[in-house]
Order: sequence, then structure tokens, then C-alpha cells
Amino acid sequence: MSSELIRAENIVKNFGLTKALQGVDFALNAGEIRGLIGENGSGKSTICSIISGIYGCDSGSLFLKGEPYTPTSMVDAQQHGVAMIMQEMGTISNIKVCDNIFIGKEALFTKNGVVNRRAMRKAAGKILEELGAGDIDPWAPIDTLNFENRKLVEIARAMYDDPDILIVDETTTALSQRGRDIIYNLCDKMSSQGKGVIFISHDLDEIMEHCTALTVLRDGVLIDTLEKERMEPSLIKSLMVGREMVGDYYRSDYDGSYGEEVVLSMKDIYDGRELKDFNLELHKGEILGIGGLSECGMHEVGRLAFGIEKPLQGSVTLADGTEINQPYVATKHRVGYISKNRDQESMMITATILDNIVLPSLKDITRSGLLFRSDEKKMAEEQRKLLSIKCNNVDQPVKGLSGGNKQKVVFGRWIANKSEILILDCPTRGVDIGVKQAMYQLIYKLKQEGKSVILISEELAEIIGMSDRIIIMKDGAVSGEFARSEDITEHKLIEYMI
Amino acid sequence: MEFIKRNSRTILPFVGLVAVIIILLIVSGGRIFDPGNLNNILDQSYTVVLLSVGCSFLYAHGGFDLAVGGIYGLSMMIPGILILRTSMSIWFALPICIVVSLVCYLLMGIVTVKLQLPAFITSLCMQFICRGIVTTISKGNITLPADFAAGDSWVLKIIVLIVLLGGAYILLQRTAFGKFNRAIGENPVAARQSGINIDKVRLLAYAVAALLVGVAGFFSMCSSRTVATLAGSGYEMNVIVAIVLGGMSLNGGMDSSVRAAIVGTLIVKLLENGLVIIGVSSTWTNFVIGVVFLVVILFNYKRNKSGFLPR
Ligand SMILES: Nc1ncnc2c1ncn2[C@@H]1O[C@H](COP(=O)(O)OP(=O)(O)OP(=O)(O)O)[C@@H](O)[C@H]1O
Ligand SMILES: [Mg+2]
Repeated sequence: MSSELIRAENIVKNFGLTKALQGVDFALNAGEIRGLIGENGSGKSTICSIISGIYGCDSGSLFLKGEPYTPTSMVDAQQHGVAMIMQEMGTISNIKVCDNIFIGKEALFTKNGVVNRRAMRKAAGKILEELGAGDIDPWAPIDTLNFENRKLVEIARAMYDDPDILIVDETTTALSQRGRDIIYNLCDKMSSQGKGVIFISHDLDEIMEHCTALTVLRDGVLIDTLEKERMEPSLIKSLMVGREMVGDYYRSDYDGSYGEEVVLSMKDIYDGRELKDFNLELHKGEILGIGGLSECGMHEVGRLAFGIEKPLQGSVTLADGTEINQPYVATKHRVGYISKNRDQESMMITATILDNIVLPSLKDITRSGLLFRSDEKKMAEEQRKLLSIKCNNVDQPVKGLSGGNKQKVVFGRWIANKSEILILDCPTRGVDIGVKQAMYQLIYKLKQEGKSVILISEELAEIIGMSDRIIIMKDGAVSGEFARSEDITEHKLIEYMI
Repeated sequence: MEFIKRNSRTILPFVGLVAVIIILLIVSGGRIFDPGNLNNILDQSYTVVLLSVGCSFLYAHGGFDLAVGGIYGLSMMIPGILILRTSMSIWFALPICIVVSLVCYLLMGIVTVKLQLPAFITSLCMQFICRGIVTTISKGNITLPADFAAGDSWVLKIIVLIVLLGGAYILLQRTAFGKFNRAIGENPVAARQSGINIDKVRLLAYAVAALLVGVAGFFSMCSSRTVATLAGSGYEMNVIVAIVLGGMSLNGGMDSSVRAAIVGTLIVKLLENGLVIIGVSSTWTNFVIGVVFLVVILFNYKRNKSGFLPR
């Protein structure tokens, strides 16, 4: 069991002023599924990116099975048997699924300079099948796939080379149970074959259930590695944040009451794809949780409610009768939306934190036709403090932020916009437990202020913990509705999902 | 040092401009700033600065403008012919220039925005259409009445320039519209989901460009007192090169600036003019500008690539 797959010694990595890793020693043994946990910006993605060849390190050394190892690129690392599934979208747009799986490996199917696309398509189909995702058409353009399926394509690409070390960076929280199961099975399989997995997640339960050992990082320092027997939630949490966590995680009351007034209603929606005759009413001061499998149409509900897509039939209206058919109509009436596909749809990745936060609210802070930097700065700083966004300053581009901190920026822009209605699609994805708690408390506070929230999530615990009312969807229709109560369990909800 | 590194995009073009001036001054032995030639440089730069700044509103949101030269030409030819035929006051030419330019730009804008066509294509079409109309209606170069000299006053031109460039700067850099426009270039999907009416903002940008192009047309009529059928041809390329040399990305985005368009234009025009003055044959001028352009593009490309971090 103790043969060592990879060892990192005294790894240091700085990004400008940010000390991302300050001398980390890390080793992974054969057969291990090693959980990696830590607050947002603690350096998890960074250490993994170094192992998988995305960045070099400033100092320190790597050994692969005892041999010195300095990967020069991701492809190089893959050839050495190290594959990584990235936190953000790692597929390439505008090409087909099979091209994505075999990107850079076209030579395998090339004969006399011509790529045999049929063979490639077949091989792609086979890998997807083996993975348990045979329903994905290898010939489909990648952009027609939803987030989950694109992730699965990425996994297929990583697995084709039969890597010795697989790194899964914070992927599971955005996936439905099916996607998660595929990943868990993969991890177990690799472990039983004497290979190794590094598994990054913010979900303690998931880590405790599936990992054989757990490493905690904090502020670029490796704090401790716990064997299975020592894994215990309160210990892990205190190692992560460096103090005891106090207060409620979700909300503690089971009141579940909300206003009479309907602030947003969707009537007889038919969108030509998932949704048929869909109806929904959101009330003032209500937190409405929507759950289901990834393809059940719940993500489309959010997009329709915000006017990103238009229904073929039916309408989305606000209390005053305004029909929402474009996002700008929605925002004008103080509706905010966080997309699940954060980097592509919710932020300007190369722009600064400040610009990202103030963008929806520019009209609010315009004075006599002009914008003043002091106003913008004030707004951005408020959100930075409120959500404790970890950055050097607000004029830093968001692309340098860790995944969870980007999510906070997106959340902050709608808080700054004083949204009356918030449509949140997986809002706490990739966010560490400390900040999650803060976000939940914030959502609860918004409710108490009479604002309304639609909370669409793959995480049932979050929906149960926060919602006044829960809707479970299946095949584009509502399959169950529950008022807030102590008796709701994940188990019970899952029955309505499948 | 940190500051310089972070703002290299802003500082480098200025360094480039100063370097170009110094090199040309030395090589030409001061001749490029002879009063006669200076006037020449200023005249040409005046027009192209206005065009570049106008077009920077389109490039900022990820648009493209190959039509600017054609529209500029048409916006001079129509009032030119009208004035020759009707002998009305030359000052009527100004609103006519602006209206012609506005009609062209809005037509192009509506087709681009509403039909979601690439601006590259629609503006190429518009260029041909404008040039076609110009040659058809004019049947050759036209000479304008001498009254136009009244508009050829540097005092007037400078005042107009300051007002327009100042206005453009404020509009692009300091208003919600400007920031929305740049945000669209950064990521149109995210811009839409931030509640920006992207069609409206893009059309407004077309209108701003039209205004500047129209005004540029009027003052060119005043200073040259002729309108050639080929007037403005090639200016679209001048504008592209200027915008890139000024440090703006052709994909637009938050970094877009009026400053880039101005500095870039000065570099291009000085190079063009200076090379001729120091005796480089005009055929080589294009070659040199091409090489400079390529170097800057490669430099930007490399920087963007290293800035792309999958996470
Ligand atoms: N390309 C970069 N440029 C600048 N700073 C960076 C860059 N990449 C990471 N950082 C910084 O390094 C630190 C560690 O980031 P990292 O992405 O490893 O965090 P993480 O543990 O993966 O967090 P999360 O849970 O939010 O994904 C953060 O403070 C981040 O802002
Ligand atoms: Mg990360």
C-alpha cells in the first residue's frame, strides 16, 4: 500500500503579491483517494495545477514514483500519467464531443494525413459508454451539451490515457447525483487498481464517505493529513478555518411563512424542450427551493424567469404585470440572476473585481450623467468586506481569484444591486463552508427584509436547509411540492426526482 | 516598477510615440517638423483621429468597421454635389455630412445587431455600397466652391476637436453607456445577463461613430476643397492599425480607450509621413507599417495567451 505515486517537496508558488503556496510537502500513495480540503484561496487548485503541469512552481521539487519530475505542460503531464479535471469548464467550444475527447491525439486516427472521423466517433462513443455516460452523442457539438455532460466529456478525455493519477478539482458540487456517482465509481476503480486520486471538494460528507485520507490546506500551508479514522467534521472544520465555527449553518427556524403577494409568476410555460405547462409562483419574502436531476428543467426555469430565454408559449410576469422577456427588463425591476456557468455567463473574466461588481448597478450610481470612481470603489469595497473576498485589491482582474472567490464576486454584484428578487442557480458552488454559512445567513436576511429568492440547486441539503417551500421537478414538470418542515429528508425528495 | 508592469498597455504606446518622433527627428534632421510638413501631418491626423476615435466605440464592443473610409467619402460627396448644384451656404454641408454618415452607420448597425451578423461582413458590404454610390453620383472628382475656406481655420478645428474628443472620452470612459459598451466587448453573454440592453448600446455606439465621421468629413471638405471619388479609401486600415498600436485589443473590452485611438493615430500618421520625408519610397511605407503592426499583434497575442489560465 505504501508505494509512493507522487511526492511534492517544499513547493512555493507566488502570484505577484499573493503567496499561494508557502512550502508545501505532499505525498500520494498508490491506492489512495486523497481528499483535499481548505478555504477558498487556500491553494488547492494551485498545488494540483503544479502537479498537472499547468504552472511551474517558484521553488521546490516533484517526484513521480521516485523519479524527479518537472512537467512542462498539461499534455506533458498526461503523458507521464497525471490527468486533471479542472474546476472550471475545460472543454473547447465550437467543436464536436469526439474532437474534444481526442484533442491533441488526432494522430491516433490519422492515416495518410486524413483523420478517420468515423473511427474517432466510435472510439469516443466507447469511452463514454464505459464511463456510464453512453447517452452523450459523440457527434454532438459540445455547446449543445449542458454543464454536467460537458464535465463528463472532460472526464472521458482525461481517462482515455489511463492515467496513474487523477486529480478532480471541485467538480462534484455542480453535478447531479448521476454525475457524482460516475466520478465516485471512477475513483474507487482507480484505487482498487493501485492508482491514485486527488479529490478536491468543499463537501465534508462527500469527502468522508469516499476518501481514504484527507489533507487540509490553509493559506498556502499544509496543516495536516488525516487518516480515515481521524476524519471527523468538527476537527476538519477547525483545521480548515483555524478556529471553531459557531452559529447556524443554514437557518434554524422552521417557520416557513412568507407574504401573500405573488412577485413573480410563470404561467403555462412551454419552452420547446424540457418544460411543458410549467407554472410557478414566487411570493414576497419567500425562499423557493427547486431541486431535481440535472436534466429535469430546473436550470431552464431560472433562465426563463430572468428572460435569458423566451418561452414558446406562456409568460413570465412580475407583480405589476410587466412581462419579462429580456434580462434588462428583469434587472430594471430589481431581479438578479446567477448562472451556473459562472465564468462564461456571469462574469467578465479579464476585467477587474470592481468592474464586475458595479456593472449591473451603474445606472444607480450615475450622478448627473457621469460615473465617479469613488462611488464605484465604495460599492465594490462594501461587497469585498461583506463577503470577505480574498484579493489584494478590487482593481485586480477576477481571473486571478480562486474559484470560490469568483463566486463571491458574482453574488456581491446582485447584493450591491439591491435585488428584490434573486434567482440563484447553484450559488454556493465551489464556495467553502465558512463562506457558505455567510451566504446562507445573507440569503436568510434578505428574506427577512421581504425579498424573494429562487434557489435552484443540485444540493438537496441546501434546499432543505434554506427553503420556505420546495419544488421538486422531474421531466420538465413539478413532481412534488413541500412546505418547510423538520420532517423533510433528502431521501424523501429523491423519490420524487426519479 | 510594479506600476509600470501593470500599466504597460497604457504606457507602451506613449513610449512608442515618443520613440517614433525622436527617431524621425534625428533621421530627417528635423525636416519632418518643417512648418509646411507639420501642417500636412496635422491635416491628415485631424481626420484620422476623428475616425479612429469614432470607430473605437465600435471596436470597444467587439465590433469591426471596414466601412469607415467609404462612409466618410460618401458623407463628403453628397453635400459636395448638393452645394455645387444649389449654391447654398457651406455651413449646410455640416449637418448633411452628419446625416449621411448617420444613415449609413445606423443602417449598418441595425443589420449587424438585429440580424446578428458579424460586423466584419456588414461593414465590408457597406464599404462597397458607399464607394459604389460615390462613383456613380459624382462621375469623377469634384471641386468645391472657394467659400469652404471659411471652415478651414485651425482655431475652429481645434475647438471642435477638443469638444469632440473630450466628449468621446467622457462618454466611453466615464458614463454608464461607455462602460456597458466596453463590457459587451469583454463578454456579451455576461453583459446581457448583467441587465445591459446590448442591442441598444451597440446601436448607440454606431451613432456616436457616425457623428465623428460626419464632422471629420466636413472639415476635410473645408481644408482640401475637393472631394475625390477615392476620398477615404484605405482609412479603415489606418484606423485598425491605429487602434492596435494605441494599445487597444481588436476584440474590445474594458481596456478600450479613446486615448489608445488618439495615440495610435499619431503613431501611424507620423510613420507614414516621416518615412516619405526621410526618403523611403512610398511603396516601402506600407511594408514598414505592416511589420510594425505584426510585431505589436504578436506581442499582444503572446501576452493574452499567457494571461489565459484554465482553472
Ligand atoms: N493566476 C493567478 N493570478 C493571481 N493570483 C492567483 C492566480 N491563481 C491563483 N491565485 C491566488 O492564489 C491563491 C490560491 O488560489 P487557488 O486557486 O489555489 O485556491 P483554491 O484553494 O483552489 O480555492 P477555491 O476553493 O476557491 O477554488 C488565491 O489567493 C488566488 O487568488
Ligand atoms: Mg480551486
